[in-house]
Amino acid sequence: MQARFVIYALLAIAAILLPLVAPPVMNNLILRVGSLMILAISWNLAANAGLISLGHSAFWGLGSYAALLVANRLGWPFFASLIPAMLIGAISAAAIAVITGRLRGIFFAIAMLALSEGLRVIAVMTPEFTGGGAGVFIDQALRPSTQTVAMVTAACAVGCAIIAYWISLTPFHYACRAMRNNENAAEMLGINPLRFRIAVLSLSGAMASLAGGVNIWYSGFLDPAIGFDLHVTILAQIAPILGGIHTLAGPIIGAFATIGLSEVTRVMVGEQGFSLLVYGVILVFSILCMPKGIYGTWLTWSQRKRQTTPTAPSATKAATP
Amino acid sequence: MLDIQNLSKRFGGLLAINDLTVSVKKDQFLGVIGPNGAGKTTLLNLITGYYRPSQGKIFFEGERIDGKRPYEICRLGIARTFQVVQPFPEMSVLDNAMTGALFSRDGMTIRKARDRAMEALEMVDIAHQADVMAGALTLGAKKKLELARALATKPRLLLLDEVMAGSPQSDIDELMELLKRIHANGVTILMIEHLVHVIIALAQHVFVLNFGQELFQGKPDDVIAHPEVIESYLGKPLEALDAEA
Repeated sequence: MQARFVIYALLAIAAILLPLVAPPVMNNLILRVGSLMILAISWNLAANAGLISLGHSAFWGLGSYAALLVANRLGWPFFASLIPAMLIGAISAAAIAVITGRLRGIFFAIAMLALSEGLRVIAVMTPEFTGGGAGVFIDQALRPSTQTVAMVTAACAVGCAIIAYWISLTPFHYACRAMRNNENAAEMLGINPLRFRIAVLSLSGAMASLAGGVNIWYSGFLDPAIGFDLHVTILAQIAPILGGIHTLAGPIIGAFATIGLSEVTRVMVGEQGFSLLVYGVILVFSILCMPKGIYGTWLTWSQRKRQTTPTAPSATKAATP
Repeated sequence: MLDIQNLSKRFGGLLAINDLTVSVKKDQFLGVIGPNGAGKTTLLNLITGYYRPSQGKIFFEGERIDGKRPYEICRLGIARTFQVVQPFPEMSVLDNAMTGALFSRDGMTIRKARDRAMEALEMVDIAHQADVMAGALTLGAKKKLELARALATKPRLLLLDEVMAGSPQSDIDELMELLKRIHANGVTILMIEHLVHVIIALAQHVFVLNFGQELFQGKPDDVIAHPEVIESYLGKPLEALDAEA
């Protein structure tokens, strides 16, 4: 048990320091995997409480715009700009939690989708504030090196994973799962659904906005179609579902698997459109064949193996009291 | 302990509960019977805050509780089981019971909640299934789990909505023993039940509900002998029913 934690800690440190030694090409990969991991953890946290979001790009976009605007208008540097990014994600998510009230499942999902689209339209229609459809560049003088952004992304991903792990040890985790399973019954046990809903969505929103805020410093350019891109929403749920929904390791494995798969198909297949098709087909089939995701499937498989092989040490230990 | 005064609940044109006054005394085992649609479950939903009364007041230990939310009612010391069992299927039996312990009052830690949950599971005799996913339990075990989860909140008043319904006779006997034990441990019980012989065996006082109103209340033996109760609910004197069976 202890040894496992040491390995995790070393892997995390290695991931954060990787940009220092890896060739610059790797920065792009670290950024994509790290951002997706944050998004996936954020989406999975909300899903764990029964809140299926179809609009995580809303938080991503809000974070991106917040970071960009405080940099361009107020001259805030990279690190400082991430604080308003997270704040706006948390505040808007809390507002959504209150406004959507007891909406759950598909109804909540649609409300989130509408939010994301609505924000995109607002961003287009307020050009003097957001730069409008033409988009806007972030102040070049303030931009840190790609290496720094990659390291911060990796650090944020590690931080989010630690927060998710810590939450899984607290009563909060019990309330979320109970609400996902049956909100009515949960309420009779003393759980105030609104309170936990606000808490879990704020946290989820802050994480997704942080990812968006970091990302804008890497890409340098933002317009409403990039900020509130449906692609972000889709990836935010494909990664945890592919990795293993409602698990701790799922979003992390899923982020590696999703980006890995997209890279492999791109290199192997070559032709742009066709490689995307292959990528999509593999994703659909993986999710169809493994509804519990990679991690969930591995768990059931290893449990079954342990049960069917009587010579395994754990099985014999259980058999002899 | 629980005082319901002139309570009414209207759903559109239907008066589900009509000017009902009833009280549960401390340490009492009150049975509530009545035909289908008499308003029994509505009454529980009103007490536990799932519905707001159209009229009337509900007091628990002197404090007015109508209009409070279910989670607030729970924290005052009222627990309930549902007619259709509602365990959390994707959580283990232990985690289900721990959820009951964790949020029913402030300052609970995971460790304390685990002890209390195990106590409740032992009480209903499903502690050996603590690690099983609740969704995989049999109906009988789910009912016991629902009871354990309610008990883990350490209630002073326990509301039971047809816990026996759909159970085989062996389970019914076991559940009856269990309820006696819970009552003996100082929990006041209000029990809704269709099985009249269960109510007669367990309850000290029986309240008969019909069309949202009181039809009769009294000792179990008086209730089954009362002509109006027989007409509206039992259909025939109980001896005749027994003879048929």
